[in-house]
Amino acid sequence: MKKKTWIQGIAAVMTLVAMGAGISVLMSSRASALEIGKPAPSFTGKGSDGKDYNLSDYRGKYVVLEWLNHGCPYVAKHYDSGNMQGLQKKYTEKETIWLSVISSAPGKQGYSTPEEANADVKKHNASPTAVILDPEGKIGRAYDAKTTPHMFVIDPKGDLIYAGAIDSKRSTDQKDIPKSVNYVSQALDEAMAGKPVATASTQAYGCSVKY
Amino acid sequence: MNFALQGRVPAFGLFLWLLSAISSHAGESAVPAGVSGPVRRDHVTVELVADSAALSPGSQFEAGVKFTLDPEWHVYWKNPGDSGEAPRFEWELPPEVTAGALHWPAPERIPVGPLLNYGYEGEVVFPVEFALDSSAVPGETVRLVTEAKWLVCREDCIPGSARLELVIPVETAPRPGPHGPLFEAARATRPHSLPAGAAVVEDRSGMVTVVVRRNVLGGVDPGTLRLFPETEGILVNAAPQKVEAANEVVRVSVPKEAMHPSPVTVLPGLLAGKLPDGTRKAFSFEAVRSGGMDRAGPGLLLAILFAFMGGLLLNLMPCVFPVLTLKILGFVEQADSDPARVRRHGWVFASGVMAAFAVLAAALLLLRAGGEQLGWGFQLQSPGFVAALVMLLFALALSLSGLYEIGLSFTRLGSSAGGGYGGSFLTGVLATVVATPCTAPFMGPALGFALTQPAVSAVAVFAGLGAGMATPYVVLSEFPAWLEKLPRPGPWLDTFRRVMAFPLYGTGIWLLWVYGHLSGVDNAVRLLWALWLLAIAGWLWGRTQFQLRPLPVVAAMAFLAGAIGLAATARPPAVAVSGAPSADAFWKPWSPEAELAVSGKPLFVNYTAAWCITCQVNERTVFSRDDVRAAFGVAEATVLKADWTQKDSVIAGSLARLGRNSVPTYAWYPEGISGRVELLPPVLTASIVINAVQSPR
Repeated sequence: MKKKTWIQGIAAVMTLVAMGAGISVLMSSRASALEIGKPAPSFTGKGSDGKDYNLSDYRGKYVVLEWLNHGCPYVAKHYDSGNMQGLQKKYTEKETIWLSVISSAPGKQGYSTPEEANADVKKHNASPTAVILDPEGKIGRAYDAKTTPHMFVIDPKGDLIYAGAIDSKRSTDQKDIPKSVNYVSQALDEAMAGKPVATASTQAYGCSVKY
Repeated sequence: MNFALQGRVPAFGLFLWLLSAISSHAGESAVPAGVSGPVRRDHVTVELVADSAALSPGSQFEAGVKFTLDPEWHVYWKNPGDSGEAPRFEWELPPEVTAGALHWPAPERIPVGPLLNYGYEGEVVFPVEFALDSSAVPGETVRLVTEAKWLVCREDCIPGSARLELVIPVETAPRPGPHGPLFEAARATRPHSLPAGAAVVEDRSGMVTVVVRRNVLGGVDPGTLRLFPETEGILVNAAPQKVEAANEVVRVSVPKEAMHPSPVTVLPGLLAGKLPDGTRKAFSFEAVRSGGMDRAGPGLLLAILFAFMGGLLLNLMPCVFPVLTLKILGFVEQADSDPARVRRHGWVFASGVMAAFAVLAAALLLLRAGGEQLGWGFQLQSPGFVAALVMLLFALALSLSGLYEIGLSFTRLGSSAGGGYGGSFLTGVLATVVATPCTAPFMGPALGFALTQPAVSAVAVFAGLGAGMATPYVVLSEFPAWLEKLPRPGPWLDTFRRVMAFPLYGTGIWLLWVYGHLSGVDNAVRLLWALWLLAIAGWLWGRTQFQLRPLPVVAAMAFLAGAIGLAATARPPAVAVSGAPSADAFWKPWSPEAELAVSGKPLFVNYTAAWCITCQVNERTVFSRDDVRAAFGVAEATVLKADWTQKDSVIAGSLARLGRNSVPTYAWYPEGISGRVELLPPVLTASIVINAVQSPR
């Protein structure tokens, strides 16, 4: 029957098209280590105070990770202006854990001994929960930290809710800070108010992390 | 500088003026001086230089900041890569100098540990094009000042800045300067712009691939090609790049940043490689994703599926309606004949549609090969084609009105005996030709895909479109039972046929209006005279059909030839005709500058054309409404209209950046041109627009 074969042919073609579409959709989805809304990579790091800091200990609290190198003019912008210290103070008072991570390798700019790191905290009047020393770059690579500063915010469930730049204006000029949107405080404020984070990932700016 | 002293200058003023003229070559300029010559800063020497030692009025020249970097230190490209910051130049220019584009040289890959930057080492100049107004007077000088800011890095980074100036004399003829060769070299190695559609971006399973046609790479060894993305944060900069060279295309694949979840739809950037003799050669491109709607990078099959659905929807678009009536007519008659023949007619009609799409695809590919920037509906941008279409429709309508019978029984009226397949076939062709100016939803991506793919894929997508358009008729002819619901032929059919002529006349009038926009009122009237001759020819021809007399046949032929000749000899208008269907003060004309001028503020861009009837329907029924206009007002949105009635490569390029190649396209940027973009559907309602514009930002 001619008509039958014709309809069967059409059906077969449509099935093939649908299958092809399905396969290409499936192939395009993939798992990745670092994703907004997914659990943040776990780590245990040595603090400049000699203590071990384990991310999993902070379930139930917001955690901010800040990649730090005081020799970098972009970091200087936010420390010389008091911007970073202000954020640390404001959010650690709200029970947030603030970890500044130094991933500079020995011999590279920004590498700090525990004593040097502690002296820097005092000198800049900073108030992070701790400064984590990561000279092997393990934590840095787990988070794919590229710049100083590079900021990450983790929610009480342990999921990553923000990753990227500290604010919206790439420059080494302190005068740009009032004109910019601070993505870290924006993400924390939105999440703490029970709202979804509007800007969850941005392009980080700064100097290279000196792995 | 303009030293014309207006009126009487008080002595003190004159003294001040002399002082300033002596001290800094400045005339009336209030621009604070910068430093001439090389300036040393941390790890870098900067200098403002130009290609000319003297400028002549009305001439063009290049000037820019030259960086001479200490060994191992570098400055950055516009996308600095994993870290860093591009240099910035704020120019302060005298009124007689206008600045053009800054030409970023092709950067190098600069690895920094496990990370990577894009930038420059050694010596690099950032040339900017300038034009000196013809009002400049020889004997004066031109003072260029730029505030340069940069970041210079090895492992550690140091921000730098300098205020630099350059004074160039104006003479009767331009003179090349000592830095001429530096600018020559920069021009020679400047990235060469690839034609739109030469590069496509794919985004599959964690890899972003730029596919570029091999024939545009001018002999560069494909193995040496490296991709430099202009958009930050999409690609893993430090990852090794995989280059695959096939006969027709070169594919460069780079892993995608895990933090970039959304599919990559557009990727501007550079491809840089080496010629066999070792010379470096770079190409800038704007790769658009093949397709642009689905969440996964569409494969060919998906594009064909979209094309098929688009083809189905084409039957419902406003501009197909007159043709629809033609087809209905065909079915009405066929209802009388035996099912097998009806079925054959259905298939012949379908093959007519397919053939027309095949010809379109072939034409598109041929023109694409010629580097033409095209879009769907492009054939309606050629006045000659539109004129021919007007005449064809008019001739058909005359036949329907009963003036004469078309030999092959085009609409199969009056030919009760078999045959008439040619008529069905031609109806299919005609339906396609008239339907093309409309973009159905789903069709844009499929066409975007077709325009940028190898020939086989392009043809397959067009076949999908044709199949979609023809399917309903094939189905109808396969199930003649549906047709039997239509009334039997009889005297009413003659009346019906006469009535059916009017939609065709209407379509002809609309196309005549398009033609008027394309080539002016004189040519439009010329075409009307051609139609008049055509009517006489038709009438004479009709008389010969009943009793064949040689004289009227010859006369009919002569009138037909006269009509065609008259239409064909239309001259393009001396002045470019504005294609704006209505001079509506609500819309501001679109240009890339106009988009940038309102950066940060909500922006709506309406890509339209006079020949696009869907656009016209939207204009009349949606954009003219007060509540819609008020919504734009409340949102404080700038509304720009990009009129594509005539070929315009700038608009075509802008559409390509949106992953589209057809109108209507409606782009809504809630946060301005640099923010996210929302594309509205091609068939609009007032509420769609108002909701989009009002949605919380």
